[in-house]
Amino acid sequence: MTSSSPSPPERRVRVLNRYGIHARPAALLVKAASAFPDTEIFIRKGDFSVNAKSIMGLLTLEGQHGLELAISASGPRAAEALDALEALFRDKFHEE
Amino acid sequence: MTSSVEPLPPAAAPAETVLTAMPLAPGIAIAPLRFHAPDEPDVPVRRIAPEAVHAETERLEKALLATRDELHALRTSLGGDSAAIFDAHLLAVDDPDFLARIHREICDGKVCAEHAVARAGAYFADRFSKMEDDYLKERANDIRDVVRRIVHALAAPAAGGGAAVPAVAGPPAILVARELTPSEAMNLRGSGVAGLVVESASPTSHVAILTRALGIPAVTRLSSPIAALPEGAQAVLDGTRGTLTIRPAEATLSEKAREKAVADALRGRLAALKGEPCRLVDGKRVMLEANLDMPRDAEEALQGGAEGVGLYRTEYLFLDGSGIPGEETQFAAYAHIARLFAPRRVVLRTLDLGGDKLAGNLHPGMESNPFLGWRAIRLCLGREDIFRPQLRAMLRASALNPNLEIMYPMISRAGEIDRANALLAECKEELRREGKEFNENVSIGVMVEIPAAALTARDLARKVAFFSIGTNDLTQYTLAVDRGNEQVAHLYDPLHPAVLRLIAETIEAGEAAGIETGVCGEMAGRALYAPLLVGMGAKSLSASPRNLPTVKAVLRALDSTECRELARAALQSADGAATKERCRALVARRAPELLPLVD
Repeated sequence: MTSSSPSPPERRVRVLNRYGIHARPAALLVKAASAFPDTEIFIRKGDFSVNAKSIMGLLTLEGQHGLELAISASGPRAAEALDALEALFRDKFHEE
Repeated sequence: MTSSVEPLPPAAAPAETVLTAMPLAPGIAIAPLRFHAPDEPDVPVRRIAPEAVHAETERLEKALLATRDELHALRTSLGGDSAAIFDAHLLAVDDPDFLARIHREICDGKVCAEHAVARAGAYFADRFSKMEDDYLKERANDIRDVVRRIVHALAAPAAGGGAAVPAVAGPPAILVARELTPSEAMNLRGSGVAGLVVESASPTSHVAILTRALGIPAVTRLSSPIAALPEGAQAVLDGTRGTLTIRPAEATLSEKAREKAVADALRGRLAALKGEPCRLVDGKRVMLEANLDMPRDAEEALQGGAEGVGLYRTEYLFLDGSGIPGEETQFAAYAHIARLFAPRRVVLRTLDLGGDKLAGNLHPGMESNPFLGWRAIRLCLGREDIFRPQLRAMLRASALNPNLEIMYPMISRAGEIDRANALLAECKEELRREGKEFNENVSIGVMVEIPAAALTARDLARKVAFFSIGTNDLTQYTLAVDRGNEQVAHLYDPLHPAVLRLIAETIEAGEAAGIETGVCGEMAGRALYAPLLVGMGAKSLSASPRNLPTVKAVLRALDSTECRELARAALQSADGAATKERCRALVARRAPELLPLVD
């Protein structure tokens, strides 16, 4: 609607998994993000931002245990997308 | 065995040399050493004219399709962990950033598809190989593997699936390689390669998983640089102990050959048992079933000779990141497994998750002890909107298999069974009105995993058609031990007399009410403990598919009286250690050759 909308709000998450964001959690993130095909979702570490639907991008993020990341989404169902991804981080990607 | 670096003697003095290494995949291989020549396709570097960009992009799309098909085919031919390796490759092939980069190379860089793919792949591979984390470093290999596959597909568009990466052919050999891509590992199958020495691979790496799955003995981190190994020299690789013996002496050779023969015979024997029923020496029958976490485990279960599915965990449907699954999604999954095993027994377990694990976090206040919290049947009874679709989906699936059964987890009181059954009855009525088929007499059972349920099993037995004992949780709750807590994990002991007594009481209560009890916890898959469970009266054991052959082999060597005697002694025993010894002594007496397999 507006031409100069502010950058999309970010949600902070922490990597709680012992082994960080390796292939399995990354795959879960990609799967979750891909459920929102029309929504742009990014995960940021410092200055480096990656497309949450890209497995390669997520892996190059080097999300080690304890790291704080920021998720942002824009487009339809953005809040829902953020909820879904946030839940994965909170649940340690179902690894215990 | 020391692990210091040992220099190899010069070739002129062919003495036996034993090198130590880290075991990667068990087994013994006896063959000459051969160095692996890695598959490096020539990647053409061509400039293309602007008009050709469109056609080049189409070439790329075709090759990507072919690559996806190949990877799917490879996935299907494997099971479990091994398939997951190719899942990662599939994700890479579909990765938006990877694809965007390739397209940019073609459109902006005006280069041929092969070069574009190689450059895009190199960008990511380079980033990964520079990472500190070993696991991520290895991902560079995945990308290189995928790039090779796509380049091959571009070169041979007419080739059928699975033939892209050339197989390693030749006479029997122990392959020595710096590294091996998953595709190359797959090609070892039927290639004559008897064993593998890889320079540096972790036990959780793809090459480790695949060599284990393919039954090829392997070692890594040799105590001597692999480049110094004498090509062509006879060697004995022991993947179980982690040794490589170069130019073995006669004595070593015959000893290892004998060991290998015994191991092969054992494996053959277990494989031959696949079609055989699990019958004790006196004819007593025990049903051996599989615990399934995911649909793709079903193949492995059938391969392992499972006579049914004693526990079908439904949680995976709720955990894949796409929210609470609807009735149709669930029905599709249950119908598939029902048909696959029909008319064999399939037991579907209703949702056994906590509110904290479900998408959208149904339980906003963090539970301080989810283990004792709002999960499984408690959550389901509190959230009919989640429970009903699952019950409906399971009922509909019951139309496809007369022996499909439903089981409720974490039952602690009869009231829960009553309420769940009331909901089930309502769902049945709905389905009747809708004209949807289901088995009117579908059997309903419960997991007995809470001590309260075991202690009041007599009352519960009147309300159900069967019991299934979840020994993992039963042990944790009974001994007040969290297995995941490193400080106390050693206190977890399924052979503790208290746990055994609860198991025995449950089975007895069931028998008094005329119902059968099975065991689906980890204990059921331990061949050492299976005789104990059978001796206590368990009618079926459900376990991870890969454990079934050994359980079957052990039980077939025993008779009911011995098992009952073992159980009787165990129930009177003061501690689990003594019981474990008795279990081992029984196997040692009756099936000593199986002892190495039963830990």
